[in-house]
Amino acid sequence: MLLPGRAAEAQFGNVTAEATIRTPLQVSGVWSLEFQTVRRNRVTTVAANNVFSGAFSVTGHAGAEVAVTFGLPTVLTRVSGTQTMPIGSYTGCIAAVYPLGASPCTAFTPSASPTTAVLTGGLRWFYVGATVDTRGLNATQLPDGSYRAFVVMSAAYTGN
Amino acid sequence: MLKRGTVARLLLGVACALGAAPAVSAQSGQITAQAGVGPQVSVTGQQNLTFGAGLFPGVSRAVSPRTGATAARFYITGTANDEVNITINAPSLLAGPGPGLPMDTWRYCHGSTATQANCTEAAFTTLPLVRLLSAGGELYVWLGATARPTASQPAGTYTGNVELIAAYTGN
Repeated sequence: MLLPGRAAEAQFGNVTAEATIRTPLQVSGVWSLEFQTVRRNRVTTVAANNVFSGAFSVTGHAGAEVAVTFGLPTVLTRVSGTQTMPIGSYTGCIAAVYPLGASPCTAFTPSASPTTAVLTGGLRWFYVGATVDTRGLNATQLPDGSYRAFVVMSAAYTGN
Repeated sequence: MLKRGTVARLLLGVACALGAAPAVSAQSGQITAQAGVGPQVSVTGQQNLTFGAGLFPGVSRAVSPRTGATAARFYITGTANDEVNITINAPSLLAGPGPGLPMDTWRYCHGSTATQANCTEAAFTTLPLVRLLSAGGELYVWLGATARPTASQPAGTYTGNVELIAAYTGN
């Protein structure tokens, strides 16, 4: 039966949309990668598990998987100058502790990012080493001084 | 000039006419004014839309209205085979401990039975939905969406109200 006025009889129903968000990631650059004083015409390497390697921490939801990516400079640039020191390659190591000391770590290749890791206990440490190559550079090309560049690491949850 | 007798006859005539009126007022007729009231359209929110155990900041998660077990569900009842007009109000942000949690890609799926897999899915851009209630006077509507937490979305629970409005079209 069609009845006058029925079109005005609007009825409402409601539900709730709900989502729970887990702990956001926090990435910190904790320690610089230090080549110390290098000499010309040499290859100088700081291993990822060396005491002078760089270190990043990642904290977040315990047990979650994260993907880390790196911004890796190819040269160090002289502070207050333009001269550059080539960086040959990078190495990486993932561990549960800092400082690493003699603790075990899992090697990875920073340039092959993204690298995934599980935040066991909600924390992982990422150590970065590298090689600088001063071979073939003379004092004019590579004068004494401090050389610097920034290594950037980013992390994101994978959802796993 | 009228004679006296003529006046008397005229008065008599008037009197006779007045005297006939009581017989007419004894007649009456009637008609019936009637209305029927059918079932009101009724809307019940049967299940909330949820996004599982927890979302990671920066990682989106979608719930399908047709295949998602945690899709919202509304149950609409009314007069069998009547046409209803359905509109849905859904939030673009869920409120929580920090900035709103972005929500988008809202979709719905409608069917005449409670079997979600058999429903017909569409985007909100096709609303309002004009649909006949089933022979049993039923209509089911499921809703899904995508939650897109930012990488810095503060931890916690975020909620929002979803409203479905149904009205007979008169057809």
